[in-house]
Formats: sequence, structure tokens, C-alpha cells
Amino acid sequence: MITPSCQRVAESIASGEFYQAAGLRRIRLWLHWCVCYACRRYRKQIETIERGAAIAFKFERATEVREAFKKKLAARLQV
Amino acid sequence: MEIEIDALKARKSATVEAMIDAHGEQLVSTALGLGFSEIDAEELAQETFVAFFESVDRFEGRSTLKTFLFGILYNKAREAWRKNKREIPEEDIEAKVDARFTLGCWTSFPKGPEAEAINEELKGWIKECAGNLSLQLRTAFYLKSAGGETTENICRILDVTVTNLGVLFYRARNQMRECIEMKSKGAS
Repeated sequence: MITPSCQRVAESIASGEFYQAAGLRRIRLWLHWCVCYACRRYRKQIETIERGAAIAFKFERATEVREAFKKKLAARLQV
Repeated sequence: MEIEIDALKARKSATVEAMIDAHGEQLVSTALGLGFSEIDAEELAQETFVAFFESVDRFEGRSTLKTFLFGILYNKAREAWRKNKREIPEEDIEAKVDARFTLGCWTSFPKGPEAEAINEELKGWIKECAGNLSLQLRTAFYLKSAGGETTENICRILDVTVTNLGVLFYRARNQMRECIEMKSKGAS
């Protein structure tokens, strides 16, 4: 087979291998990805979820809350 | 700012404060990302620093200070989960994904999230679905996507090999994708 199956490509995308593969393996994975709509869509979804998580799990705490935390911790560590 | 380990071992106040400045909020944010309440997340971060100073003499600098602290935080989070009996049974995600293929080809097309734009609905689903991940999967997923950590650092924090981490990513990402697909079907 010239390119891996959809299942192998999807596995490599989810495990992260897709981005790190080298040489012939990389060419075969990307070649499949280029011609397969479903695998392209799968990758896009995984990446959208990852980008969404980066935004959804961004926590901005107020300066006074952060300062209070630091003071409490410094006192606990006796510094 | 470069934090000197010898100064930390001697508990020099300026160095300890610099360390708290550099890593305190990161630890709290990570604990929040792992699903702890703000009070519990702060407590977890504090316990991490306390544990660090209890074992600082054994710190040899083979990993970065940040990675070492995150490793302690992860172990503390595991203890907290065990104490609160929050263990989430691992879903058989492999079987679920396998069922989507016949002879290696997609038979059940991957659906949703369709839009590339990240809206409030998707953010809500991501938070809900992350709540169904086990602590190990959630930590791997969080550190990679929100924490922006390298594979090498995540391996050190979770104490797993690169191959094992690939399996954790595979499970976490597929579990998240399947869960969000279900939610998007329900919404449409």
C-alpha cells in the first residue's frame, strides 16, 4: 500500500506521531492526509479542540488575589 | 530570571520569592485546569512548594525547576483525587474508535466541532468533556494544549515514556472528540 490506512493516519494524528514522523513514514502519512477528506476533517477537529482548550482553560486571577496567595505562601514557607 | 538552586536550598528569601513569582500562578492555573476549585487549587500549589522545600536537597537539576514542581503538583493532585474518591474509570476508547473503521477505512465519518471558530458553546463542551477524563489523561491533555509543554517535559512530569505519552494523547484526544461530537449532535 502506498499510503497508510485512514485508521493508522487517525491514530498518528491523535498520538502526535503525525507531527513528528520522519522520512518515508512522514511522506506516506502526509500524502494520505492530502487526499483524504475525512482524515483532514479529523485532524482539523482535534486541532480545534486543542485550541479551544487553550482558551477555555485560561485563568486570569485578579492582582489582589495573586498577591494574597503569594503572601500566604511566603508566610507558610517562613521566608 | 535565573533561579539559583543553591540559594533555594539555603532558603534565601529573595530567591524563594522569585521562585514563587515565577511558578506560583502557573501551579494554581494548572490545578484549576485539572478541575480543582480555586481554594483547593491554591492549597495544592502551596503544598507543592512545601513538599519541594522538604525535598530540595535531593533536587539535582536533572529536570528544570518548573518540571520538578509540576511533577510534585501532579502527585499531590493524585493524592487529592484518591482522598476524594474521584477516580474516573477509563473509558474503552480504543473500541469506540475501532468501531468507526472497517478494514482501516472510515465508516462513520468524524463529526463536530464543525466550525473552526471557538465559541462559548464549544468552550463549555470542552470543560464538561475534560471532566470525564481520568487525572492522568486530563493532565496530559491540559499540559499539551493549554500549558504548551513539550513532550519531553510532560513525560518527566507524569513519569511515563514517550510511547506511553502517545497512548495517553491518543486516548485523551479521542475521548474529547467523541464526547464533543455527542454534544454537538445533541445541540443540532
